[in-house]
Amino acid sequence: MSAIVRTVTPFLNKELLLQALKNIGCKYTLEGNDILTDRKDYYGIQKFSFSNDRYVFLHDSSAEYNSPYMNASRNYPWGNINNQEYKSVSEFLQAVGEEYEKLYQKKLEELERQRLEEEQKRLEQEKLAFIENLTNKITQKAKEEGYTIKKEKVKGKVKLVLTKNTY
Amino acid sequence: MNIAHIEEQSFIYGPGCRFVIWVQGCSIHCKGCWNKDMWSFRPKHIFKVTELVEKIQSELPNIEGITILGGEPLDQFQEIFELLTACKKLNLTTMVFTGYEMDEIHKKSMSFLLEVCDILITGRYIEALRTTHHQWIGSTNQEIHFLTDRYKDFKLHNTNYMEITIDEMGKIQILGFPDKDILNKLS
Repeated sequence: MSAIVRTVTPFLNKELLLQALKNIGCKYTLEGNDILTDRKDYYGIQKFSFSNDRYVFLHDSSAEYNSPYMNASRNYPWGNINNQEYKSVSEFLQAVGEEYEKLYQKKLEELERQRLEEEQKRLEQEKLAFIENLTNKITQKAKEEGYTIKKEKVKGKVKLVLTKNTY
Repeated sequence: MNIAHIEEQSFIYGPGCRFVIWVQGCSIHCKGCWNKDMWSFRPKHIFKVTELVEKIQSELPNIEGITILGGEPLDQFQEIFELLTACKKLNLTTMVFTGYEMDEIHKKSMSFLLEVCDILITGRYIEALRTTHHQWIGSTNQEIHFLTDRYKDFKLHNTNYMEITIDEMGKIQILGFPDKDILNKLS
């Protein structure tokens, strides 16, 4: 017989955690570094508290009925004080964790898209600066050679029309 | 039509902004020609006249006319005539550079070109008479004929013209009548 032990998703990012709670319909309020949920147990409000490098869900451990003893009846020791559809802490955390991971993936994709956009912008600016510099250099040299220069923009291209009266 | 190059909007081959076509193929072969790569009649870019007219129309209203040079435009006389006729119908002005002399044009029964051309520049390029000081011509023997009233008030200048195009990627194209020195200095 083998055991499967799973830990809950480590909630490292407050912004994502708040959004995850909102998305699964859990109301919350902020109190200092704590995120107070609308879930209660024997000892009061269940909350996420920032500890070391992550948010940890603080609750009365006996409120979890996901034990062999409690599974039999799925009776919650303190009745229906959890008004969310997540009857147990583990179900609740699993739902928050799944939503958090989805949001995290989205965030990564968004950051990647932003990074690519910024890189694209940087490359474009670099090229535009090169073209402007080249245009100025040619204009300067042409002026030194006695040309009059008229600059036109045609379909994204720079056209320099150089004229020099010869006599 | 066999085409070497097209410049959709250019400012130095005739009055105003013009659609300029360099034809591919020349039977004259002037000594010292600037465009020897346009002598061969091997197909380069093949267009139907109607396709060219569509391209030209797409540049309206930014252009006031078209200019044809090459290569030798009159080596593709029938197509050139059709193209110029179509452009006239679009109320565009027309200008042609040919290496033929005016009397050769008459002898070769190509006189009706003159009916659809506002400005015609004739004559071989003669290396010994090369000039970069005259508007539009490459050697001083060449003649500029204003065939209609369209540009009757146009004043020619003793001017050297060049057009430098810098594209979106920073590539440079130089058109016109440049001195050899200036090319080295600018590039």
